[in-house]
Amino acid sequence: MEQIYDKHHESVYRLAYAYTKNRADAEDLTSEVFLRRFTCGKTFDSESHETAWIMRVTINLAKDLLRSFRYRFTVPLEDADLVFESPEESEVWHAVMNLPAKYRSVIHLYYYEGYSVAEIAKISGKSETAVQTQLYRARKLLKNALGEEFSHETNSAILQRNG
Amino acid sequence: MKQIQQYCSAMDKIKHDPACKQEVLNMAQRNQIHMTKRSGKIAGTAIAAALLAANIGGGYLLLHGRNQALNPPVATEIESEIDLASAAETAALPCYVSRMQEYYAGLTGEPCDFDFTGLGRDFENVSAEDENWRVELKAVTGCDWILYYFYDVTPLQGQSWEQFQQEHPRMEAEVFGGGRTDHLERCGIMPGAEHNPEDGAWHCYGRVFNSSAQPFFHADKTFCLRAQISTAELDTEVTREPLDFVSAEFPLEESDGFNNIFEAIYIGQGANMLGMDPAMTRYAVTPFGMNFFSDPYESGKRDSNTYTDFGEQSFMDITFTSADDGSETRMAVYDGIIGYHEEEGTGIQYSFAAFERPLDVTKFAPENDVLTAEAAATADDVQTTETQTITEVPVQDYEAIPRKAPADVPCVVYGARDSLTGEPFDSLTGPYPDTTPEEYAQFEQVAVYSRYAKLLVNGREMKGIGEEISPDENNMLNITFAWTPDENVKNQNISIDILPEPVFDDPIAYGKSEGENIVIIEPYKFKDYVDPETNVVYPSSLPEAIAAFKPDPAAENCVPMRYSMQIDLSKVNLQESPRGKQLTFLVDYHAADTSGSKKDVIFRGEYILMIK
Repeated sequence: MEQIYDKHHESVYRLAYAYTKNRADAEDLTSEVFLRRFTCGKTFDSESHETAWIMRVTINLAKDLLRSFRYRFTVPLEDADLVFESPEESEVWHAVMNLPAKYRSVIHLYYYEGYSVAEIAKISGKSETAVQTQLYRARKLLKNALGEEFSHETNSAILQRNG
Repeated sequence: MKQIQQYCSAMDKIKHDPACKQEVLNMAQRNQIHMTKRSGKIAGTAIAAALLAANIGGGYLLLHGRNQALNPPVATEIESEIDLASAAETAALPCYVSRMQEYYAGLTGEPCDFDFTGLGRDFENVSAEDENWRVELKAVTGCDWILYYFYDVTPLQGQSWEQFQQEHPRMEAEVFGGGRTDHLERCGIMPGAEHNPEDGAWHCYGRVFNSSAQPFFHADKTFCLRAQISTAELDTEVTREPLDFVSAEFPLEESDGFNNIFEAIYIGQGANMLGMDPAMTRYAVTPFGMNFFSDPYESGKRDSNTYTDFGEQSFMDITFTSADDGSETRMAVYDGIIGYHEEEGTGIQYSFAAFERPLDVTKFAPENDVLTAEAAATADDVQTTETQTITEVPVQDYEAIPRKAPADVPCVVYGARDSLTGEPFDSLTGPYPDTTPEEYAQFEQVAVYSRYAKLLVNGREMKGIGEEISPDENNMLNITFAWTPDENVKNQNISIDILPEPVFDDPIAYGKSEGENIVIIEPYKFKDYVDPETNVVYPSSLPEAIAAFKPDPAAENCVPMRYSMQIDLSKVNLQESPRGKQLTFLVDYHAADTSGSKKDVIFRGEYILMIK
């Protein structure tokens, strides 16, 4: 259990954060994801299958939370304790965080976690076309919010992460 | 320079608290012990009760209500889902068990291994057919408050999915008994089902809510199933079956009162359908959902039952909190009804909330059986009374009454545009690079529809995302949605769903409740446009309607529809963005047939307004 937790907990937590935008809910979601993992009795063919399962459960639980009565009526405040390296970093962060959740998640999975469109489709249970469309729309929204100088082109750092 | 990498570097700073690790591992270990116990490998009532409480409840906390009268769980009845799953591998499940599991799995996208054994019955050779379709009742399951039944539809002429959708062969169900009838609420293809017949037949389901305060079984009801095949005008009663599987296993409990249940359902209206808000002092929890009842109140009506459903994918959920360790199990409410039942000067308000997944509540012993006794007595009194059933459309606050536009309202206003740029769609190569020719053709038709819809805010037409708008002097936005379909569409139920932030495409409602920040938007169904002479709705399918669509706003048959509402920005929780505050919502335009089942969204408008 510990090994599985150590391997995935940061990814789960950050994905949960990308959905909920606050640490407390992200922590609760992370705990619930691992509880499900440890009690579901599943065995996986490969590590990638297990990873996909964990990420999918994270997404489903996050969706449940965002749909919940409590969440809709107590909109969480975004954590304010992040220290940004530059005003641009702050702008980009807040622009992503202000995207609708489905766009935030696809941006996070693609650019931060480095999943391919096909992998995101598998994780999120959507078609690849739908994921591509969401990526397209998310980029457009970011461009709209941040102006023409915004670039979503990946650099070597991202590619390394993807690799 | 602003780059997406800056999001990544900022996200790197979000670290998971290391202290959470041990907590999670400890909880997981407890849970494993718990499951071991539930499989019967450890004996001891006290331990079992404690472990159960750690699961989903030695007691409930629900909304603002708290039940303090619940008995401890009965240890000897504890079973393990794991054991049940194992058993399922070695023995064929009854049809009602496997179908119910299939239903929930389709609903949630996750496997369901909940054991419904004992809560239903299977049927053999209960069917009706015409030359095109065979409809066979397979099984029924449920409780006193909700029934699910399952049937197969077999195409006898090799019909396609599209034909299945168009003709909608179905089995409708009613529950008769005690002078009262409960009608079908929904039926159709299983959630998440493939579009191809499974084993030569489509698996379908139907659902009947109990629209009164009288349990199904205790009033000695008879379950009567009727098969109706709409294309052949066959309306055949195929069977009447007693609900002998429904027992008092999930009786009513008393609570301190769930005073806000109606607010939760009808956010923003301030009052419920009755104009009063009696505390919901009794409830029943079953694996399928939760039912609430008020205390009886005086009513001027002799015999009336009024209810409405609050829609699929509604926004409420119910949290069950363990009295032992405070752990929570949150149950999303997928659908439900709300209403009141009045007889001989006495009324009871009720609501049933259907869970999105089953809840294991079999361990909770009843504290009392108050309503059961009352209901049985009432049923005897009304054996010969004709029940009046009225289904009401929820009345919206904000005087948002749709109306036909006056003749001089211009019709053609809104082009099919890229919702982000406002530019016309000339090709699909941009946002939809993988579009197939069939999808492309469908899209073109949808685009045709969308040219005849518009959104006006404070009298100004909105064309895309990011437009700036100022509220009026009272801080209000006056919003009008208008759509001008042609004759082919007006023969269908047309509805416009307005959705807040495009998060998960769920039609949800914002509202105003006790100072919380909410936008008020609810789906509204427009009138039926059934041919008054033939009483037939046609074309019966969306694809046909699209194919036949030839917009002509000058034609007499062009029926513009308008839906106006106001949004008070002082009550709205606007989103922050680098450009300022924004209001985001989607508008879906649907067509539906007379069964009430919503068909595909015809088109969608997506708006992000920058509030100045």
